[in-house]
Amino acid sequence: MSIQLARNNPDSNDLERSRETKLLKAVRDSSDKHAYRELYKLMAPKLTAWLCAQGMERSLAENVLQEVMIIVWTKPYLFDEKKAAARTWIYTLVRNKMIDEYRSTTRKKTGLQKFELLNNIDEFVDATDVISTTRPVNDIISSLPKEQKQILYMLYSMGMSHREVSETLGLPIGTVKSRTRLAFQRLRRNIGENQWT
Amino acid sequence: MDLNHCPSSATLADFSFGNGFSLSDIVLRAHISACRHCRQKIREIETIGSDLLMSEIHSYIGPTLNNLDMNVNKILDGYDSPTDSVDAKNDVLSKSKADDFELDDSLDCLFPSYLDCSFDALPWRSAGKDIQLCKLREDGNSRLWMVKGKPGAKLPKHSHEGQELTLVLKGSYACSSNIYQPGDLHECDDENTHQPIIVGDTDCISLVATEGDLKFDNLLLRLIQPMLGI
Repeated sequence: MSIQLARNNPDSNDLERSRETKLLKAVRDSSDKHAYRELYKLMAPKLTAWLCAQGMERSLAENVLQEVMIIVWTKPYLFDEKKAAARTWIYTLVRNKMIDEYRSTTRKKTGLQKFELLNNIDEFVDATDVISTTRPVNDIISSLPKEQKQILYMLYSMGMSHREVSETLGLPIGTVKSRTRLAFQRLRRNIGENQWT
Repeated sequence: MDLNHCPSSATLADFSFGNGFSLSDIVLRAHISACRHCRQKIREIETIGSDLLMSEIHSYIGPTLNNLDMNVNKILDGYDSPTDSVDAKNDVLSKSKADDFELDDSLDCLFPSYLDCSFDALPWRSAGKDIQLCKLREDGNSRLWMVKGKPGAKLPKHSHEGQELTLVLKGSYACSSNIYQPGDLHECDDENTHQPIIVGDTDCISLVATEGDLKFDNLLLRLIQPMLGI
């Protein structure tokens, strides 16, 4: 498995986030096809990649993505920018769809197998440094100790439960829980409410 | 409502991503429905998730640009964008895990709607002096229970093969210097040995999700454990 370790401009995430929300509002308020096309191109590759990282077959991931993007086009009125950014709303759609359609031990097993494909744990930890490429959340994640970043990445990106993380890393479950708690405490302290949307 | 005992961040993350075992979701939902702190935390977890999703870590795979154009055209040519929002209220597709519960911020929601009878009418089985159990559901090695204890009753000292989530529905119990009251969620795992003691003047009823078998110190309990199915 090869992971592209590209770095973005550190300020880009704020701009990207606002841009995505502006595009989705144009889709919702004016049925703007150009805005939809741009939003699709921004989000579809990452959403497909995320689904694959959860252990989903590529073809199924693309089908799920397409179903979600149909919802974005046909039901944009469900989006409320006061509650969440566009990316969070679309992420929620994808997650709910994935849980509905592909929630099984198969997904988890495949996710673990994918994890085992990584050559070693150092490569995995290094890969989490890429999280620092975007703001605001990822800047703060980059300042976390490596062992906390590693667990966050396994929970979010690999779709592992904290028990699976404990088994995979050979750590006591209490250690996984306390590292997760410390990481969230740090994130909560450093991120103002206005930055969530 | 502010409650004193909430699930760990790791358990809320599992709940948010659907990574945990499913019977625990029933217990967590009931707690979260009464806990604005946990609903806020779930929103934060979702926000972090969406930022990580859009980070470069996930850009190593994805449809080619040609495919993207083809796929987006399929949607724009095949579907009309709606002009009204008639079913917005009932649509569950885009719900946050925190949204599911926002309508009810009271303890009423702690009495699970799937129970179509009163607590008294449940098929309780005795499990020791002043302790009764009722198994509600079973899924693989996960089980969902109601546990009832009279004031002063002591549950046997035990640990677990996996996670145990206990939500107090009525009454209260003490465990490891903490008091658990209605709405509180008590999270234990295979590293904890504990012995809840019912406190107060009324029966204590809890909804409990367990993963794997309970592990008892007491030899007699270990012998009768298969009969109780715990």
